[in-house]
Amino acid sequence: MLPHLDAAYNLARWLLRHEQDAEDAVQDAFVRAHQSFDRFRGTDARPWLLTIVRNVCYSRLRDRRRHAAPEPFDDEAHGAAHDPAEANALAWRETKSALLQQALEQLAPEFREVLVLHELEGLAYREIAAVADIPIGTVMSRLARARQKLQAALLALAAQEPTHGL
Amino acid sequence: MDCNETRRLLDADSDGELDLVRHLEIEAHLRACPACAERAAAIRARRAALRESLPRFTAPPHLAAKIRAALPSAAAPVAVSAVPVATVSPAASAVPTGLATAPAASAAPSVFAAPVAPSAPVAMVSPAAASVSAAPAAPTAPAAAPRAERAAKIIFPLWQFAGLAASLTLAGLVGYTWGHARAHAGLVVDEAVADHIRSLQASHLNDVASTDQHTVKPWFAGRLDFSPPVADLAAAGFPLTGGRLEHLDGHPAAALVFHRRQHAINLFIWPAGPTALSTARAARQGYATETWTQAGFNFLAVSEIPAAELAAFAQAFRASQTPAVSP
Repeated sequence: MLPHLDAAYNLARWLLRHEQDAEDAVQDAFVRAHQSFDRFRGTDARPWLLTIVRNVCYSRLRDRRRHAAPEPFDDEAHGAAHDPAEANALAWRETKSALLQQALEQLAPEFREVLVLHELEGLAYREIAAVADIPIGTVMSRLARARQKLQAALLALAAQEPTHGL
Repeated sequence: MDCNETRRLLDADSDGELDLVRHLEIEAHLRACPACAERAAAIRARRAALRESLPRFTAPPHLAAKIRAALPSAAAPVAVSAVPVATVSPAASAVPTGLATAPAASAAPSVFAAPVAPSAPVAMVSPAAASVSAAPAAPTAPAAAPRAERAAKIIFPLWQFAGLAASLTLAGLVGYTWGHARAHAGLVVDEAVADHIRSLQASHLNDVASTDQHTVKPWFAGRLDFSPPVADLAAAGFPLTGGRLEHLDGHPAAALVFHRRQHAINLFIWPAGPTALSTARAARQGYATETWTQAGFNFLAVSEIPAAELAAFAQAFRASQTPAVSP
């Protein structure tokens, strides 16, 4: 049995948005993890493994865009994240799954990543900071910003929906 | 605390990432401020929507086999077969609880069994052995480690061949089912202990923080497709302090949080289905665990309190679920 296979695949699938790419990335990651496992010291291998998965995925994303050098992600450069005050608790409860998935896929991978790691994998801020290699303060602000952007994307998508939206 | 400060911290608070002082300050503000309270409710609803509606993708069935085939089987993997390998080297600090060994009868070499090196051997503890002998194994580990390591080096190439033949024959035996169940139970304990540790490290113990069982129990409705039994064992010295959603053994589960003095106890609850766990006690890395099944639910308690106290907790919980017999 391969430990944390689902967690690894989930992160890769969300980052790469492509099933076959995600499978290849996860396979890559496990091979690398196997090679460097003797250097692992700790009680929970999941964040460690997810770091490797994440790095493999970002390499592939860069290859897709054919950028030579990694650009540091600029949290501010992705448009003002206005806070839609209209969304309320009731609206969130009615949000459809497909709409949520579509909205999340529209976000930049760095925003998607923190949301997936936090909401779906249940990692704490500290663990997300380790996996994404950013300070905890950045995790907090990026997560808050990602949530705002997700909300805005949902509103935009819902407005196009023929039936009830947010 | 004013509205601006509260709004700034609401996200982190609902994520359970704030220290207790600020959390209480925010709670106090929310009680007095309907606008912020409404915002907090929206944040909670958003969180619930994300967790419930966002797909969490699981690996396609063929991927595991594909990966195992791609992993090099050289460099001294320890094939876990019917023979328990039961040494835990103190130098390697801890066996990662998230990494599980293969079921007892599988022939596949255990993934992430590290190369057996003289300086810091990390031996995978077979679940069957661990649940029985983890406690006595620990004190003898320093002496046993070098011997077992040499033995493992000698034995393992044989086991790689023999293991394949053994698993084929074992598959036809009743013993396979028993071993698989034991191994499975051990894996579930591993997972639960990892969840317990993570909940403590992140201070993310509670999604719902309340000592009132009549608040905690209904909180799970709509979030889980079952209603977990909840009890307040304050009279027995184990007050209920809250609960949260968890995931265990492939199932959504409820985690009830109790406290014993300042120590947390996580009680994981999920429907038993066909895979009811047998009553068992096990130790992992200094944490005591107790497993049992009652009224169609699996229960798994994890805590750092002594095993005897955890046994008392389990006993008290089981008793609370049994209708009192009137004389």
